[in-house]
Amino acid sequence: MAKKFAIDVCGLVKKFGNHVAVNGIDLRVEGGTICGFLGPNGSGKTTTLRLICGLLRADGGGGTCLGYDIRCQSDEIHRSIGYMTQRFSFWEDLSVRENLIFTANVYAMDNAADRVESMLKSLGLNNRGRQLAGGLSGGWKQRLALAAGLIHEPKILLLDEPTAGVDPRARREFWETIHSLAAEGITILVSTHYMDEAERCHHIIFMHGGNVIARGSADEICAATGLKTIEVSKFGELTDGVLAKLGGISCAHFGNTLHISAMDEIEMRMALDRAFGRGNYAAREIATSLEDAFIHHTRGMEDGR
Amino acid sequence: MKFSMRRTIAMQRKEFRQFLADGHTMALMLVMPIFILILFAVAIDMRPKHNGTALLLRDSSPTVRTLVSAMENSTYFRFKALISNEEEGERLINSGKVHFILTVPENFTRDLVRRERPILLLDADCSDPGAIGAALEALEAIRANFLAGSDFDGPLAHLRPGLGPFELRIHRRFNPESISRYNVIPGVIGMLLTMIGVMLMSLSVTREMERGTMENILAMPLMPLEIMIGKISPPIVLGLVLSAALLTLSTAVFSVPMLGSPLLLLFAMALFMCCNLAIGFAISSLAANQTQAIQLSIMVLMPSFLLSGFIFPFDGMPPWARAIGCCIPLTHFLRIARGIMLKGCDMGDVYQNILCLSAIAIVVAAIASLLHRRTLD
Repeated sequence: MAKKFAIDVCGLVKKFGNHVAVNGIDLRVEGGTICGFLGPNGSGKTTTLRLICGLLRADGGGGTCLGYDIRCQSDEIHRSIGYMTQRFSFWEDLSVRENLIFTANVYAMDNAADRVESMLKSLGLNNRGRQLAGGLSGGWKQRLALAAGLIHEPKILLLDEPTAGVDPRARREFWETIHSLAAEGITILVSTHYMDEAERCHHIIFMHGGNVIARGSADEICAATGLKTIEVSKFGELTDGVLAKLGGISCAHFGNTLHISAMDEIEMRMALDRAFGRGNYAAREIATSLEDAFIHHTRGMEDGR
Repeated sequence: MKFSMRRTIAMQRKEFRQFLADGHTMALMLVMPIFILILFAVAIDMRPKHNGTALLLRDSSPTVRTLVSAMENSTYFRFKALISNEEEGERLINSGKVHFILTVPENFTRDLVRRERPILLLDADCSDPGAIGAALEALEAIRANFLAGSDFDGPLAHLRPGLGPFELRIHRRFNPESISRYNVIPGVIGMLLTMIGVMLMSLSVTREMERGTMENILAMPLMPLEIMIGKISPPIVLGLVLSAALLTLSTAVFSVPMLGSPLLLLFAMALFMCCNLAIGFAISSLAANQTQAIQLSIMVLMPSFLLSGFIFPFDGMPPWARAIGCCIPLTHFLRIARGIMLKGCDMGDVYQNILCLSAIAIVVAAIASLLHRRTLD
């Protein structure tokens, strides 16, 4: 294959004691794309990101990040990636500007001061340069972390749950920034719990228990499950007894409607008749969402244990 | 609300569980008291024996040899060096290698036989007045009874001394009035610099770990040495300002002598601070959180204070304790500080201790940068 991947790793394994946090992951990410890691807590998303940027040593497997070996060239990798940690990791007792100046100097930027000012301006932080980072709200802390991660013009940006605790508007703006960065050719790896965010990624890596259980675009992942989803409305009272009659079929509340998904549509209709009584509800087929796929996959994994 | 046994037991169980989970606390609570008890019981002698003594012989008759062996048999004196001139003696006593210089004058034996009560000169290092008192008492007893029993029988019986056959002139050097403050203050300065250096530094990396900022630092292209130099700099400056303030206060207000060069002492202080900071840095790389860092610091500080000669005379310790003491920066700093302030030592007297401090600083710094985490593993 002639194509050059920004990240090309295979068989990554990381153990913490007896616990296998990442269990043999292969990953190839093309330059300039957004690759999202989706998965429940403890599925190995953060560990994978840390392995890629050399913050953790892999117990098995290996590969390259921008052509540098992730096992022995972490210094080179550090210089050309930006990493935004899950927990805010800038100095709360320094001002916004001081944090950025420190970062710019650590990366030995030639024009550190100019670069800091232009970063402040482009991320709308210029009024807050003198404010202590500890006094910023969640959304502004996130912007500061992003600004610091971008200050050295990295080729790869690793974002570990960047929008946790950030309001919807700031989240939307953040994702717009991410897309424009990708358009500039920066490769972005982002981990998230949010389905809507995962849907904005070009490529989703679906993780569970340290394994990749599905990958591809959101549509590909939904289609690959083979699930049919029905939206049920105008039903009577929902009791535990009614839900029990649905059997093992996955079911989620959306306001006054229910989304139920299963492989077999006929079986699903029969279960609905059993539960609500024929004609006592309205049903229509809808597209299977990423969330339905997510629940389907994680349930499958847990049942398999 | 009534007192509930069940709630109390629940609380107790939680506390025991957490207490047992923290290995460092357990170690500190068990090992430290036992270590200190053993140290006090077997190691520390407040009346140190085997004090190093230099011998300047201008007369070496069998009588003088009897005197020398009597002194050695008292166990308070150990003759380490036979010297041929005063300058050699000065070097030895200035650098702290010996605490006494015994000078036997010319014609000592002749004068002794003539009952002219010759003068025996003992230079005593009084910079630690408490440590040498016992040896001086022992020597006085030897003098009073010297030759009292054996040799002068029959026709020579008239030579039997009443007041003792010779006069002992003790030259109390460096602290003639035996003011213990003079000895204590350089020690206190060393203790304070140790505490501040080790504690301050041991918290520095663990603070970053606890706040999560270490992850950020590790993801940046920073070398451990760069991190270490950066982190050491503010405490060094603080330490130097503090050192200057403590020295000024000691000499100006508490009239502790400053016979040697203050600049040499400041240089030694900077070096000493480097040792302490390197130890602190090593601790902070080992400790998982700030509480552990403080506990580990205490584990380092206690032996420092006990085995360095700060609280107990260094020569009053058995060889194994002195061997440990030689690895402690405070031991060397105390010798330098007391030497420069009370004895007017120059570089020539203290260079060995300076070299030891440098060696400790380099070794500990090397260990610290090895211990320093380069990943989050």
